[in-house]
Amino acid sequence: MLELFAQGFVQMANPLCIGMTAFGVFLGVMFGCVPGLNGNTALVLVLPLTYKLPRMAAFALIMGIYIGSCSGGLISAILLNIPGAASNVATQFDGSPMARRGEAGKALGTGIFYSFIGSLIGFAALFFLSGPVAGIAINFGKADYFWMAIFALTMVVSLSSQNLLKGLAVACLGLLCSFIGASEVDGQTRMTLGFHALDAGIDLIPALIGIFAVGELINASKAFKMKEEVVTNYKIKGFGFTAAEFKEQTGNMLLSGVVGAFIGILPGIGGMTANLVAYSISKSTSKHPEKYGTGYMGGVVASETANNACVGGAMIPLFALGIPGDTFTAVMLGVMMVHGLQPGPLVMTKNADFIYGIFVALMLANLFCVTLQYFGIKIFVRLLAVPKHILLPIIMVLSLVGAIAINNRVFDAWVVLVFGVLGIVMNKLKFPITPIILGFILGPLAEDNLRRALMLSRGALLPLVSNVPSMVLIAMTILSLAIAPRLLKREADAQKKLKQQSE
Amino acid sequence: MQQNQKKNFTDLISGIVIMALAAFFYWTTFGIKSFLGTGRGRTSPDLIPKIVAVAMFVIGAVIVVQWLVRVKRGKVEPVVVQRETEESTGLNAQQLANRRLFQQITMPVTLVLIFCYIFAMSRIGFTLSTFAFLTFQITLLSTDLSASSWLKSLAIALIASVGIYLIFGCAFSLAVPKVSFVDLGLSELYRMVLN
Repeated sequence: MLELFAQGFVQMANPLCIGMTAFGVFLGVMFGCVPGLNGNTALVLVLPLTYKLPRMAAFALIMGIYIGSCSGGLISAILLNIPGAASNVATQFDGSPMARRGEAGKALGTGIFYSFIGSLIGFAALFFLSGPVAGIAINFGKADYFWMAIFALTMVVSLSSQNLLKGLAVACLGLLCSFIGASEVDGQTRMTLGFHALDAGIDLIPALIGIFAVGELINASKAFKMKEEVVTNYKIKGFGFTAAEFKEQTGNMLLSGVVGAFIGILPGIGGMTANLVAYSISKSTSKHPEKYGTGYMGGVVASETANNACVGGAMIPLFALGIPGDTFTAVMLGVMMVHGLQPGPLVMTKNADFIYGIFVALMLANLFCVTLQYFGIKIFVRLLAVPKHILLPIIMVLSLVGAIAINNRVFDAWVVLVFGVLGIVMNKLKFPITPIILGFILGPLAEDNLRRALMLSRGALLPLVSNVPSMVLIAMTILSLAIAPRLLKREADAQKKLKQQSE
Repeated sequence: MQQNQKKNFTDLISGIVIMALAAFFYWTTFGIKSFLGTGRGRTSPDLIPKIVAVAMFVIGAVIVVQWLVRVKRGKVEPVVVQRETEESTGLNAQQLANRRLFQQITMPVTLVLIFCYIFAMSRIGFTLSTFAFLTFQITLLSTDLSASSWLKSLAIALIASVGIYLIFGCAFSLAVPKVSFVDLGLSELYRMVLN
């Protein structure tokens, strides 16, 4: 393993990769801290660039954005009393009261430091778990793969939807969109309505750009200027907290890190859920639950450790199984395919030097992130006033360039528009978006393996359910549909209470 | 903020949309033929799309039925519409009316602009279409239609469209549509400067 890690270092040890990591972190923190922009928007912005960069440099850039965007929102959550992104909502509960009390420096220092620790915990999870998970998946048969895809899909549906039926409906929609074009088993073109441009199917990246970026850009552009109050009288000395305080928060930190990494592993939910769940767990297990929400350091620790721990966790299913956990990793999957990598358990052995290079990039990004935020906080505060009405249209143009360049045809820009309209309609009707994306990605995996498994069994159904891995996955599928909604409801109620208290 | 209540039709419309989409996808599966034939475990390529479409249709129908049952029992929660007031936003009446107008037109106008942009791109080339798109879109989002605002957008659009073309179209040689004399001229210029 150490040898592989050394290979990863070799991959990353050049000025381009290091520079791209730093650039990515800068963009990530900037987009993270401006309310209305987030890591996804930053990723769409640099998409055309990632096609042309060498593979390692492209992913160094993406890792930088991922780490930076999870952390950057703490700046606005603390100083502006508006979380910069959904993954920093809970940071605001205690960070903002601290700032109003004149402890902005301490709140910022705590947030920055524990983001670093969170990333380390997520990294440890990624480093130690992705290999073994891939090792299990590599022995899967066709039927097992089919059930794994179904399990991932139901998991996403039950975790990301308030209404299970609506989640299932859009998951079906994603599956149907993925069936368009030539089927993998027999090469027969399907459902193209005679458009030859659809013969090879709909490409993942234009569909993704359309479904979340167009909608997000339009939503962000509707949030016109409001009066904003930025806390400016702060000074950071050290990280603002004492060794005794650090010792006091150790348990909280470890627990929140594990919670964050675990939530990252689950498909369909990420940093935006992790920070709230970790906050409520931290509060209920603390000796001083009454201090939470009044400007208590522990609240910032829980939220910021958890959301960054998510990053490492979310990449475990991506690398080990080829199943992305959230929108950001879904786009990463698309970029991996552009660079000729087929994500799945084999990538861990066939492209080990590259995967370990990504691990190194993650560590480097983490170091850059803590340094950049610590020394550059004044710059980012100034960037909070970035003119969004200029930036958003330019991002729109670049996202279309990213879509067109993937297959060198304007047709994919139309795909962006169609999926954009679809995303807006789904949003209006309160459908969850993630199940469409996962359905779209998992459709071919599920269908192809099911059809091949049926051919192998000569049409018999029993062999499809009689393997041990299949049985385990079927049981987990049923459990995810039966239990998750209840857990989710309890969590939603708890979060509602939290929000009411903080108001 | 003022609050108004409206009857909630979201789930009814959702169910109908899902059923319509499912029917549409089912229709697209007609005419799919199999090269391999079926039997002995070989499935026809239209089988699974058809099953998924039917399942989706049924789910849509259940969503509609659930809504009807809730309406009958009077259990549909009304939508709460929050209206911004002068106090909550700190704007005067004129600005507030302006803000509401733009909040309503931003989305449809943006979609139309993107449509025209893509349509124009393959006909008049990347640089010109991007220039036009950015000019209109930036002005729209600035919520200020005065002459000076247009002029500012025009200048930004000029710099951005030429810059993006030079970086992505020329330096990274991505295949953006290079049609008009502007695109070709810029490419030529780029080559001359490099040599």
